[in-house]
Amino acid sequence: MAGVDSQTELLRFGPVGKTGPTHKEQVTPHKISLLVLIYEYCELKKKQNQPFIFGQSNTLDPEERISESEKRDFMTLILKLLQSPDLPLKELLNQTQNILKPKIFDEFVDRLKEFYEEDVLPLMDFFQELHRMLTEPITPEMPVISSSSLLGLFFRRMILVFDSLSFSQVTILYNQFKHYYEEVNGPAQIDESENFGGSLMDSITKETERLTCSALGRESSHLGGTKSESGGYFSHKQAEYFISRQGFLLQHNEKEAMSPKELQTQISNMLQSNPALAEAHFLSYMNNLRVKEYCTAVHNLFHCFDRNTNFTDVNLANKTVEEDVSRRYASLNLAGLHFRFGHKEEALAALQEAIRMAQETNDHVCLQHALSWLHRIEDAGNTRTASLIARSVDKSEEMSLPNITSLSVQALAKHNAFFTARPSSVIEYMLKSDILNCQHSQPHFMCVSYAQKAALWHMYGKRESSSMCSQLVLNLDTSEGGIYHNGESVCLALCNIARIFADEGNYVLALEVINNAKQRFPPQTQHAHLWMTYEQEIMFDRSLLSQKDELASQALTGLQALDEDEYKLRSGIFKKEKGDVSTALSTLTRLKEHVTTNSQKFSPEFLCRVMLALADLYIQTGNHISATSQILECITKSEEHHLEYLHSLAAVYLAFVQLLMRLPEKGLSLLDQHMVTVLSHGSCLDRARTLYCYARCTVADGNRLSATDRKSSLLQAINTMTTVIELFKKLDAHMRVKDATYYLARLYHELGYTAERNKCAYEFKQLDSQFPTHSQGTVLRL
Amino acid sequence: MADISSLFKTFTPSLSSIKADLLRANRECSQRKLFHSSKWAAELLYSIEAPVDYKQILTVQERPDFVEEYDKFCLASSFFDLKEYDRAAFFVQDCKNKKAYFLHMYGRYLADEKRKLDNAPDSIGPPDKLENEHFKTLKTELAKKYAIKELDGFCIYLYGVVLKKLDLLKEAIEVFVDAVNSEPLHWGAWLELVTLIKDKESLLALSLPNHWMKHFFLGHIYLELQLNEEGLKIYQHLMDKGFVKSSYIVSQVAMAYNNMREVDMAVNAFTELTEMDPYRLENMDYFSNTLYIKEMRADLAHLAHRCCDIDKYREETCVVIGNYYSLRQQHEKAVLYFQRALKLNPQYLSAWTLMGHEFMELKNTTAAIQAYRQAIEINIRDYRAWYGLGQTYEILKMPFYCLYYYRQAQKLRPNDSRMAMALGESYEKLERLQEAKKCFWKAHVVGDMEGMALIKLAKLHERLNEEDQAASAYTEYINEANRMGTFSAEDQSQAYKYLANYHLLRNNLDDAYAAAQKCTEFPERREEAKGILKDIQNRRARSEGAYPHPVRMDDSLGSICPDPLNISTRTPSVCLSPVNLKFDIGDD
Repeated sequence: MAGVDSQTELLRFGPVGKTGPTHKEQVTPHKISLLVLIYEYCELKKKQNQPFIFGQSNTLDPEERISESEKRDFMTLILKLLQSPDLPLKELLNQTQNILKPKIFDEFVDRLKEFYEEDVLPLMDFFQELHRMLTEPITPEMPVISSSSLLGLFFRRMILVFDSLSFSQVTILYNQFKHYYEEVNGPAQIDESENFGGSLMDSITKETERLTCSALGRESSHLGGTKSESGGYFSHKQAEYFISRQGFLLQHNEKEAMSPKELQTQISNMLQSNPALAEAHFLSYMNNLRVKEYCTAVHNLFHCFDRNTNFTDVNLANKTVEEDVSRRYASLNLAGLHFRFGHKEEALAALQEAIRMAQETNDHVCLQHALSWLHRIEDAGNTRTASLIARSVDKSEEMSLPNITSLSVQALAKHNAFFTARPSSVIEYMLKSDILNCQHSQPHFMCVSYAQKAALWHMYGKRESSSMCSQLVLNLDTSEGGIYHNGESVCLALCNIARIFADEGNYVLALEVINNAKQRFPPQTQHAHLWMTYEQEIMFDRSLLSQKDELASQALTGLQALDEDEYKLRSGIFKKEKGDVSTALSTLTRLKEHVTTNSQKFSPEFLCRVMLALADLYIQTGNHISATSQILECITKSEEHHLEYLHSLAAVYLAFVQLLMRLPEKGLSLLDQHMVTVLSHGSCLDRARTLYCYARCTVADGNRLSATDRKSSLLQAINTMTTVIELFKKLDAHMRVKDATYYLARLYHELGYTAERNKCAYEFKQLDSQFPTHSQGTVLRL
Repeated sequence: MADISSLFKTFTPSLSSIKADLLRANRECSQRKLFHSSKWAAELLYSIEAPVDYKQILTVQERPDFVEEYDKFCLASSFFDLKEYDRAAFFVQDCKNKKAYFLHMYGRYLADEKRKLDNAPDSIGPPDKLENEHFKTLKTELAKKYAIKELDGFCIYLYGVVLKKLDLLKEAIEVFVDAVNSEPLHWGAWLELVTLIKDKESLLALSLPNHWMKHFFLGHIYLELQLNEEGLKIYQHLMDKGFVKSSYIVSQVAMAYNNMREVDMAVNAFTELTEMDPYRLENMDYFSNTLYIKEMRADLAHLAHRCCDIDKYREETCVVIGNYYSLRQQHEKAVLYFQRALKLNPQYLSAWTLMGHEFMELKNTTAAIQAYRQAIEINIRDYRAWYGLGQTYEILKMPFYCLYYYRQAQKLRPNDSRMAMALGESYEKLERLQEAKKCFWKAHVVGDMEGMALIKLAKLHERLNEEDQAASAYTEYINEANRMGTFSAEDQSQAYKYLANYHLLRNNLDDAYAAAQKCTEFPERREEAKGILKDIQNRRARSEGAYPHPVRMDDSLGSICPDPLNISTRTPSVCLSPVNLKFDIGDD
């Protein structure tokens, strides 16, 4: 069909009446400056490359010698300038002044001035000169500038574009240049800028003072909201550089990317000069995702895929195929968008559409992507999802899509972990993902894998392993082009480490780590909510132990906005500590019901923690039977899911109940079994509580022993209690310290050690005056 | 509309004084080279049949300062006529009088505009910052004079135009209001105001002069804001007052009918317009649209021919020809003409949309999407382009994806049943029946155009086993169909069958009988209907003893009046919040 080509040709012209075909590259005043810069540099270098002639002094004047480091600086600067948007001249001068040799800089400035003063002629001559420079190397072996180098290509592109300009276009270019130049040097003030470098600042200030029409006009441009100063111009090429760079940064290390606001202005700038650039809309979509701005994200996504058609493709058959592909992925992306905003059904509908289209055309790659989305969107935790993931693993491996395989493997491992698979098999399975990541060097997935392992170890109650995995995440070499990966997994690892510190009572260090996370993930970024949650949790735990109710409730409010479920659990605990038993009970039972009904949404660990909190509450109110049933339920659950640590902790609770029920010998044997786990993996608080319980059990058990045995067991208990008090002190848990001190005093009393007893009593007295007891409910607690 | 009737009470000036006003306006405008306004005034004054003392009006005393610099003014004026704006501006730059000053500023403005347009084809690089620089200079100068109130009405207008060019819309509105207050006879200023006012609230907030021109302005802006009925009322009134021969008013009336999709009325009005003013090209593109909708091929061909003869390099002509080719199913040529229209005026929005439609016909979806997107880029409120995009994706079998576009379209035209229907059908395809129901109901409530909303709604209710709602929707559908005289055997027979069964189940034997009887009229359902009839007979026979009063038997076809079926005229609106129904018929 002959008509099609002409149609597409006719579709090209932009909406504002610019009928010329859009060039990939354009000569702009900024680019002229760059050309001049490079040219002057080459001129200087040419002098150095003069072949050595005997008898002639070849020593260059130091002004003209370019050292290696200067060369390097110049090249990196030029590279940066080539890839960034157009800058105003002032900015360019600021950037170059310190790096360039004064000689080059002067030449550069002089030449620009020449262009400015002497109309179009020198400009046109200059381009001819460039052309000559490229074609005529001084020596055949060593051309000044190689025509296939990056700069050479840039030269050639510019020369080509300049050559294709008509004369009227050259005049337009010249006018633009004039304007560009006048922004720094006031219009037609030639005499003033005689000593250019020095009077630069003066002329700027002078210009602002002089209220010429154009200055006023420029001022009013701010009123109109058109930012002529800040936003540079992007040629197609520059825009592509910019998009790929920022897109990479957004994914890899958000902090290094531009701030959302700045990026958005740059994008709109870019779109102004390249309205047909679909990728810019996509970048804008990504930017909106990161600030969770739904409406604009949707608009951008649709816009991007509407625009995303490639007219350069002449082959018609090929073209329709490509369009279909783009449409499939449009649906797929839409699904992703809805999922991110938590619209599950919408996401599913969009995904189904993508799947249907992919099936129609047998696009397996797209289907694999869809499959991996599908098991993400589908309710986690049923067998259907598991089989979906398994299929995704097999298929994507077959089609060598390592990233999907790796993700699916991780998802399956998580699924298995939640569904009572043996820990060894789960961890082993994770190895598969590690191998894949290693083979294909996917640092991003490596981090995710380690972070997940840390989470798994945490769930199974292996504290040290969890800590190690988190540290591994932070120590991995994930740099790509000098930028380290800085994603969700890194944030999680930091938070995990912070929590481990907090558990040890090292609050200062914990906050230090959180602060680091704060710096890496500023509050408005995507993953900031993670460290915020942990910060609130740590604050809450700390203030709860040290009885700072106000701080605790403050942290609770903070937590409510971030993590609803954690908030519910902790508010139950908080109310329990405050003695508000009935509210605490209703909160916790409701939470438990909620968790059991939506079990697939929660990790088994969470349920166990809820049950333990409930048990604690029952113990406090003296309802041993109910407490026991909760504890036993917790034990079964944790055994089923291989949650070793929680299992042991529950056993300690059980031992405590047995102690309260006057069965200390049973409690002792139970403690003997489980104490090791708690002592080796537990947090400071848990260790102290366990030891305290152990001491009490020993004392209670000692009643039936002979006097000497009894004395030795009491002495042993005293030993344990000193450790307990130390641990409690470390945590600032004043109430518990008091409690333990009192108990220690009683032990001394029992043994008749009056002096020690009095010392303890004195300590207690002091503590009591400092931290008086308010609630009565805390007497009976583990 | 309270404010319209109260408004006309102030409509006092006699026709002859209006005519005198228009004469004056025409002369003032043409002296200032405001050609369109002077044309408008002339057109209007031509249509008024009232005695005027031309002699007295034409001999006007010019102000002495104007007479003093008349030679310079003359020279500038001549250059202006030759489109040498820079020269014109140069020779009056030192003049003191208001007219010359206006000419100077206007000349500079036009010179810049012309340069900009000329340079557009070979523009290079970034969107030029310098382009606006000229406007800024003009703005600064005008602003200074404006601040010390040295500008007359025309210069204020120019100031407003410059502000608008600089995108300072809020300030521009204020300035234009000022301009119409000081020079109410200048139609151009009113027109600029029309383009800036986006809704009725801001219109009512303006403090406009109580001049007879205000009625023309209000009519124009009501049409622009799609408040077509109010606009029509004003125009009707103006025609009663003696402007019946004005081609401007007739064209506006035609446009109003066109907007209201009263195709026949629109065609009549347009025809009248072409008879009054046979060489007119304005609005002919809309005329061709209506002809296209009515599929009047011969008339369209005739129109295309005529337009082409008058001036083939006008965008209206291109659109007319494009429409003609489109009607002839020669879509490639149609595209070509729409593209030509766009070359003549890249801001010509509807050409983009029309081109999109043509690409759709050519099955070139990608190009269609591009064209529609382009239209949206020019005007984000173009509902036809949104709708077109939705349709494109629907054709590509992406019902979920197209929802977004239909939603946008529906948002822009909340009272257009077509958008609601499209949305509903997409929801239906996605099996989201509750949403689909809402859409169909909405489509019905806002005045269903295709007559499909009710039957679809009924079928949905049937699918969802909501029997009562289904039955009332079917009943409503039948009533509607009878009233409108539309006929669709398939749908109607299904409706009757469902109703028969429904009433049978509830033992409303009379109603069931009536419906079944109707159903037998359709050959494809006859057997089923007979079965139902038999069932009714049986039941009647059984319950004869229980009901002593005789059952009315009526076997003649078509004798059933729809009344017994008219149980409830509305579907219980469980599925629809009444908030959505608010803008039903507007404010009257």
